[in-house]
Amino acid sequence: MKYVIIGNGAAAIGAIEGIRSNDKKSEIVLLSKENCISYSKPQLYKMLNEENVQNIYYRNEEFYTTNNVSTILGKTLISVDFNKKILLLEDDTIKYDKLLIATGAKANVPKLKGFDGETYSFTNIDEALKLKESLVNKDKIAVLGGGLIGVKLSEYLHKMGKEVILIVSSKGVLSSLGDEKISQILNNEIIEKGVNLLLSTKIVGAKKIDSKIELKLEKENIICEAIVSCKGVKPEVSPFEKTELSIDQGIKVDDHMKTNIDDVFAAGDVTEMYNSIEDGYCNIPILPNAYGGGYCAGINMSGGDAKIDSVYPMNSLQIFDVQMITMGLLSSAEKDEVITMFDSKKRIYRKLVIREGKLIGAALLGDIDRAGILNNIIKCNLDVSAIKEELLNSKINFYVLPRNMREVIVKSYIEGIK
Amino acid sequence: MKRRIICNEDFCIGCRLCEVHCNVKHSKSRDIILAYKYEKEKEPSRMTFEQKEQVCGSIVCMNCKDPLCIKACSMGAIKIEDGTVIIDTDRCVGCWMCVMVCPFGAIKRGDKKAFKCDHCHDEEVPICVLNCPNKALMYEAD
Ligand SMILES: Cc1cc2nc3c(=O)[nH]c(=O)nc-3n(C[C@H](O)[C@H](O)[C@H](O)COP(=O)(O)OP(=O)(O)OC[C@H]3O[C@@H](n4cnc5c(N)ncnc54)[C@H](O)[C@@H]3O)c2cc1C
Repeated sequence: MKYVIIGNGAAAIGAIEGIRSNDKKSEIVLLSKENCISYSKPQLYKMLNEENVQNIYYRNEEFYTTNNVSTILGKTLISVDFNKKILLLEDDTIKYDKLLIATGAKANVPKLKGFDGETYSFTNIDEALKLKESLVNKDKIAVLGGGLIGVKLSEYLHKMGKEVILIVSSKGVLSSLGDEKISQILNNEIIEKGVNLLLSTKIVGAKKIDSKIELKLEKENIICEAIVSCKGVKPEVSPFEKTELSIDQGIKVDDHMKTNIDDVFAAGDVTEMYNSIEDGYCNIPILPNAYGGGYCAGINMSGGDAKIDSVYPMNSLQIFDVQMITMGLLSSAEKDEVITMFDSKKRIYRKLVIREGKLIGAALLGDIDRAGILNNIIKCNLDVSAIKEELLNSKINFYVLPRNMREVIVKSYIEGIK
Repeated sequence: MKRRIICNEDFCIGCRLCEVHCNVKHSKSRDIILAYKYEKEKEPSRMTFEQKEQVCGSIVCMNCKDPLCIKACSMGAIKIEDGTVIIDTDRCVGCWMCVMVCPFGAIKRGDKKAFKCDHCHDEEVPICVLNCPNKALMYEAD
């Protein structure tokens, strides 16, 4: 048996650990176009400071030898012949028995009308280092896009002493979360801390003027020295475009992380999976999904039988002094019940979204302790009709759940309880 | 082998000694008086006591079969060692992804680092279990 993994991110690492939990011996080959060991993308911002790449490694350097994985780093997959089970690289081919595609996602970089200079992006080490290098003699940076990466990057650049203009097309940052209150709190926080935040602002074009850039907005023109585009990511499916692999928003996988082609699995940002809350296939590019999907794929590739947990968006982040965790669906439909709690003094906000008695989304700002208890209620599709007020207003408490519910939860997570 | 501390809520009277002894065990002096009266930098207990009306109990890391915290950790800082889920504090950066997923709320936030019950891996029986006056806390190893 020869396993081949394309990619070296969280999904790939999960797959290695999944395979090795079943199969200690067979050959594993890992191919990645980046010439470095696996690193944590959520920590990528640190690359802008003096920190070196070791500080954001996702596993230690011995990981590959310990797990008996041969790595081919710095080489790019061009295409796959799924019938012959052969991977085509620029100057080489690799045969596989079982394949995992974990190529992740790449940055959306919109073309700016009239601009022939560099538009930076921020989704991998190369991009981060390129940006870092260019920052040396630049002070005024425009960040395009108010999603997670745009906001966090703006914060980092601001803390490095740069003058940051964050340009967002919607009414607030993190608008894709679908919660206006959160956007509003974060807008205020970002402005208060000194980032120049331009909301509801579209970019018409840009022009290079000597070493500066003139950014043309609908109402005004602004001058900056560098543009970083953080307009989201899209699955990296280019090697598979002309193949029979089923791709929609991403590579379509079932709850065993199988694609439509035999012996071919996919995991992580490159996939689309069934999202039980949305009742449809979605691309959810977050690290827990990547690792979890990879781990599940690894078990199934090596003869085990693992089913992926229900997947939905979730994130834990700190934006300046606002600590928050969001889980599930926050943009409610009409049929949903939404309850919120806001304490402006303590800067605490909590929101629960309930559909037919079941919790389907939760947001915690300020006090995030024990958020996982709520997350598990979402995951297990538990009825919260009787306890919703307590879940909203009290400190999160496991014992708020009825005893039978608690016992089921405990049982489901542990093995062999006597 | 998996170590596990389970609370039988029928016997828990809410004395919170488990929290006290957990604190002492993880204090500098390991002395109950010194730890409580004189040590300034005290971590919160790794054990969480909770109550809802008559029902109460304590809860810690359950050493899940397939720990969600390991999958969510953005730094690969959580692993299983000798049957216990361990947080490598050198690697932990306090992203709180583990807090986001732990179904028992058993991972706590310290100063930029997560921490949790270590099941007193250097003791034969965890200290909280030893000191539970009503034997509500039970220790299992399988
Ligand atoms: C700046 C930033 C911040 C983030 N913050 C968070 C956060 O706070 N929380 C969160 O949950 N998620 C966050 N994410 C998302 C998270 O990092 C991803 O979900 C996760 O990294 C996905 O892992 P993956 O293995 O699917 O893909 P990736 O980590 O993207 O890895 C893809 C791998 O495939 C390789 N590859 C791609 N194409 C080829 C090819 N043709 N040939 C060979 N190799 C190839 C690449 O070299 C790479 O090794 C963030 C991402 C970024 C960029």
